[in-house]
Amino acid sequence: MSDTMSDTTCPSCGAPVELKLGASVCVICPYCDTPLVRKDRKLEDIGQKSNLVDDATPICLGARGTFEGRGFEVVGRLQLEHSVGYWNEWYLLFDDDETGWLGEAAGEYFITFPVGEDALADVHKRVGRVLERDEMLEGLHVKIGKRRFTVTDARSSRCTGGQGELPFVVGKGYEFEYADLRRPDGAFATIDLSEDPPLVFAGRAVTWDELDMKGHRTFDGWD
Amino acid sequence: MAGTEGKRPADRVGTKNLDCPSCGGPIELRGFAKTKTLACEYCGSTVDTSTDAYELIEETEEAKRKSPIELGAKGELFGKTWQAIGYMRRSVLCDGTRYRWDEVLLFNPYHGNRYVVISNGHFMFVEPLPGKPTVHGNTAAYEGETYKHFTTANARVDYVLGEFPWEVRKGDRVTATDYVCPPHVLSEEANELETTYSRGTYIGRDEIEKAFGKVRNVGSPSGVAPGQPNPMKAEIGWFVPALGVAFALWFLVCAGYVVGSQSKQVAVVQVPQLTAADITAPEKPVTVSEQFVLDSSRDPATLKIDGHANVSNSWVYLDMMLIDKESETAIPLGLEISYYHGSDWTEGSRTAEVTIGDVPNGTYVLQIMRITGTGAATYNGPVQLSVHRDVWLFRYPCCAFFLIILVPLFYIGRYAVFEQRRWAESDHAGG
Repeated sequence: MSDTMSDTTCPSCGAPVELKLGASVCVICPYCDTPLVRKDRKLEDIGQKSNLVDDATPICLGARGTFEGRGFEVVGRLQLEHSVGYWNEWYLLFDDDETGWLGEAAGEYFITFPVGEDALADVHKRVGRVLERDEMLEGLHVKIGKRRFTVTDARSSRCTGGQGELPFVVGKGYEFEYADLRRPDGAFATIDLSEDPPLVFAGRAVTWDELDMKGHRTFDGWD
Repeated sequence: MAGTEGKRPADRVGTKNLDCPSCGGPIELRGFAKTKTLACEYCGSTVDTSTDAYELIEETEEAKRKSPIELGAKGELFGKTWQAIGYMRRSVLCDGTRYRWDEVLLFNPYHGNRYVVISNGHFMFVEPLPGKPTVHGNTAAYEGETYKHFTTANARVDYVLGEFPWEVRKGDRVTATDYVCPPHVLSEEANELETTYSRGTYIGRDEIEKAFGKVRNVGSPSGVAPGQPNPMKAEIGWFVPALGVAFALWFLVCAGYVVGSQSKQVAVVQVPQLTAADITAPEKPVTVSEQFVLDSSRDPATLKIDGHANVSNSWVYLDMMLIDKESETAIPLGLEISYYHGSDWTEGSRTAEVTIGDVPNGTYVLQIMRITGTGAATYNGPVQLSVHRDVWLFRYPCCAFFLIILVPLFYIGRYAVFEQRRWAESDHAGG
């Protein structure tokens, strides 16, 4: 992590862009909304402008919260649109340098972390079989590690835009298939089917109060 | 890693305003940019607010029904503040009858949406579930509670007013399945796009009115709601200990009664063997006992007379009088001894007893007035009688026990009747 906190300039508008994560692959210029990719310690414009939709989210870049006793800062955002609405995946940088995601839609919050390859044998086997046969993913039971999840939704979604730093390249209109999995105890997981093999993120549902957010957005009439 | 706190000012989300594209009425969106569908509170027309084009979906002349909870009203429920922003009337068709209920959408920009569901005058506070319940046949499990299947029906949207964060149209249908575990109701709603789960908690009208003000157009509750707690169940907390105390008291009183009884033999009478003539034509009392004194510590007390006769496939009946020597009052008594037997059966016994309660202390004689029986060979040898004062009777503790047990039986009965009324509205009525 020698190159954390590096400052570079946006090739599109010339504004200074500050990077907090050494691992960031993509950063969206806060001034002109252009997604920039890191190459050789420089930023490269990938062309497609981010086009976020106003979704009245209470979270914003720079806001801080806690999860299970660890503090985090919101450093990136991916806004996605699917058939029934918008939701956000907020990229989190924890104080111990771990990264995670805060999924957020309509007052529901989910914290997830990438799941290691060793816990995914069952996912690869079962999801692979269903996709091969072109069957419904909904209702499928899969084990992530030792825990059994059920697929509750499987849809395609479209990325409308992003903000801040992200661990992968993203552009407007980027589409991907995903499946959401749940357990009766509130555990939650999501499978990104656009990658091969699919990426899996697992965690659990959290409440707004539990996140103890600071520096978040506020709402007229709700102080 | 020192963050950027302070550098970026926290954003402020302002309210969104528009004029109704149908009637021109000024509208402030309470759900901010989350509102996707608006049914104008003035004219009832539905507007697509998912884009700034505010496209009119359905135009109507006037909003016919008001929301039971006034839209815009804010109040605290379960520790959080909620604002009523939308109202929906829904119904299901069941055996040719349409059952209607009201749903008021509550909103908080941080905590999302909740609902107040009003059906037959009963209220429920409903929250979406982040998890998925486990369904096994007719039961569903969620967060350690087991729910029983109640109904599955096709629910239709009949009327909308105010704001909704999703696209809602009159006539929208979902397959709604309810599972109950009072005071909770677990609901699954499924359409082509998604399956959602929510959990309702039965709540009193007073709590809703305390939070949002007077509720309109809702009558007093009728019947038993699926999630309504059984009032008998609330009583169990004091009822079971009370029952324990009652039985403990019963035991103590009975023990005192039994132990406190002196059961003392005060007289023995031998009734001589009689001839057939004595039996058939008695002119005077057969025999009289020696006088005996009743001086029990309890006054009056219970008196018992034991009898023994050598009857064999016959019976004998003694007609007696217990006479108080002082007051000359007489208490009539009868004692039957009958014993029948065969090679492998017996009926009756050679001994019998008779008890009388409330006999005052004093000096008494027992007069045997008459003996009747099956004939001369009725018995062999004398009939032996013994008189005991202050005995305890099994029937008193027994009666008290049944009186106490009546209370839980009544309780269980009322519990069952309530449950029956609840389930009468389900798919499992009469089951």
